[in-house]
Amino acid sequence: MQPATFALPSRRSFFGSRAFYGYLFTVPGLLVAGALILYPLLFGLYVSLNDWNWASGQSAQMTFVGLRNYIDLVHDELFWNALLNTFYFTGAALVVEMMLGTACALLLNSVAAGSAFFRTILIFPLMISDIVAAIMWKMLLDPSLGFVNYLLSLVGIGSINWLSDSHLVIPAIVLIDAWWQTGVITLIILAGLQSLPEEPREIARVDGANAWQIFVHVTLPAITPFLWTAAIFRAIDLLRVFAIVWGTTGGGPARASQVAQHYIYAQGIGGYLHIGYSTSLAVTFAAFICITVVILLGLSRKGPAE
Amino acid sequence: MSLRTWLIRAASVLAAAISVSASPALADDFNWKQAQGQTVRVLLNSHPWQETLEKRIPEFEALTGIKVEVSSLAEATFWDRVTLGLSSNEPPFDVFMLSPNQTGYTGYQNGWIEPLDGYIKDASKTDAAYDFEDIYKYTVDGFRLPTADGKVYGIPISLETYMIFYRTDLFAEQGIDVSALGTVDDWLGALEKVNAAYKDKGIAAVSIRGQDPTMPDELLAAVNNYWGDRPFMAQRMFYFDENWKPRFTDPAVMKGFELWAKLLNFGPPGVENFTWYEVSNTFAQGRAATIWFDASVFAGMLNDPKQSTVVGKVGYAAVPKTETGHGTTHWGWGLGMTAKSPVKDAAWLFIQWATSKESDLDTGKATFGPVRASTWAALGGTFPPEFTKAADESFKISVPGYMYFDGAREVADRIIDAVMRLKAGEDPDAVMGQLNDQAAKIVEANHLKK
Repeated sequence: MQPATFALPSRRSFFGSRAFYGYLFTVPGLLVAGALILYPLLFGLYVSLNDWNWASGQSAQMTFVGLRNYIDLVHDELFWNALLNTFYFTGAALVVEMMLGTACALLLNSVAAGSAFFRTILIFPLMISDIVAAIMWKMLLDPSLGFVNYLLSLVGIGSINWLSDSHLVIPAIVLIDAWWQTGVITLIILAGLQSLPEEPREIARVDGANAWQIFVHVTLPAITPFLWTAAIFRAIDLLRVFAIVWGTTGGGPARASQVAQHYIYAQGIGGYLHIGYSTSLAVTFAAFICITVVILLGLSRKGPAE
Repeated sequence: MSLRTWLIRAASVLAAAISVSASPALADDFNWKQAQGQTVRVLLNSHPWQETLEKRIPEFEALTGIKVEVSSLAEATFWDRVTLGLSSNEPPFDVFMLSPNQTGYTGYQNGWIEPLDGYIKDASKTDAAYDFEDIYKYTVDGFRLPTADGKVYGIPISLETYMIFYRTDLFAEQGIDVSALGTVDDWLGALEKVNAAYKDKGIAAVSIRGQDPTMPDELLAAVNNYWGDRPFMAQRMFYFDENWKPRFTDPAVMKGFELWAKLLNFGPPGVENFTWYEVSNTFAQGRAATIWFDASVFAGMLNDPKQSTVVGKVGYAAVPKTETGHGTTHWGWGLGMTAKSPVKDAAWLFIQWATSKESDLDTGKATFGPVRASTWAALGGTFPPEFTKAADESFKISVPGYMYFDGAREVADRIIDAVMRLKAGEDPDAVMGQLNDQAAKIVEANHLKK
């Protein structure tokens, strides 16, 4: 009997194997990702090594200056002010949103009837964009005409200068962001809670633990991975805050609310047109975000083993 | 026919032909339809001029057969859009509202804006009735770049000078005779009175710009009021001398800044974030007793019953004098054309139509800031007499208020920071000294010293 005249690809031959087709089909996706992500990233890195000052008529050409932009930013006190504001905002907002989000998730988890309704209300603010939230709250927080001060006046509290007082402005922005994005934390923690098995809590209840003890010793350790996930995702987005500042205070009063992204924007396309310098600020800030995420990831893994 | 008869006939026909071609009646034959079928994209800032002009755009489309796509944006978004658009290789607009200092200088340096002299002089592209000379020369010069003898990069569309608006009813109630208020100190005394009387009723004494990126333009008026007759360089204004040495600790500059901070402290809560929208609206809604150092063009909106609750109660005054001087500034918007526009002739037709005598007459009624002598002559009588008097006086003492040079935006932002710090009560010598240092660094970083 003659052997088959065509040979199936041998295991040794890569071409024609399943792995080959697997790689082949990822190529279009990689090309798109490369064009949309890698190219701007590399171009940005290159621009940050140049002096590209559109405000001096240089928009047609760049001048290579090596690391001078990075050296200049070390002495730029407005950049460090912006970084400080950003970390202050991120820390405060993270604490508020994590506590509020977890509380909401616990409540939603324990409500049997109508939980879908409450869940919709709590995550409703997520459906609007950040600039809409910013403009809405700018009106609500207006010292003379805003609804918030009106409500406060009903209980006898005088007019508060939310967005014009340098001490109150970051708490005000934390408030706006908490209203807007706490729903994200709620959803993540709620998913975590709903995935938990019921038995450990039953056992604890039978053993005589009260609700608080059950929460601290049973629920909390079990949802810790979800808490860390939510915290890390939220921290990355909080560090990148922009529209909420741009839409309400524009960085003021006197840079008290100017966050890193806003300063990068002001140095670049939104103001001074120092495109090279602004890009170097952006690269440095991205490095800070990476460091923060690495630290948070490291801390999350140091938790007690499951 | 004899030769003599033929010659006479030929001569008379020739004479008739020459006289017909020289007659002005032929100027009506300007071909408005020369760019028929094209589309012109226009980017405008939200402004009384824009609101009035947009209503008449169908007239232009009918006249020329050109389709016009208008995009009107609120000012904060407008600045970003105009800069991004101009810097692109294919700007998404052909015609745009031009601010000589914010956009004009940068645009000129980067070759983003088209010079218009060629179009104005070309009889085939410009209607003889356009009468470019009718537009006030000093406002046209503001659009000549890089200096007042350069080419024209924009055609003025509205002119404003910075003055005071006040509530005639509130001042009368307090028994304040405005004609007796001659100096800044007189007015500050009046403001104290008004503040004491009305602050608790929700009416602030002053409405003035705060953290508006354009506030330094109006601040120039306050500084000029103290500057006196001393010389200064155009474009650097009072802040830098011939060697680019910053002068923020000059007594006149400090007094101007301190006055602004004082006025801010008479303002309503939230005044720190006031842009010109909030300044004019606060007064129009009856929540402020005065507007300081702001645009004469507000008069149009304040007298419009659809937008203002204080129609008939508005008073006008030129800025009061100081111990060291008496002056204010003027400024104007213009229309420009992108250098990379694919439809330049069509865009020029739009610009000339939008800045023609008929247009200026129409928009001048809304802006109270026409740019043509003919319009002012026609409308001057229709404006409230006190406004005309105050505006005339203001224009007499005003200088062009355009600050532009490499790094001007950054200096403007540091100026805003300094004013806010003065408002918060920080020591003026420290604040202005630091501003001087920051300005020196900006001069250094932008290689301005040759």
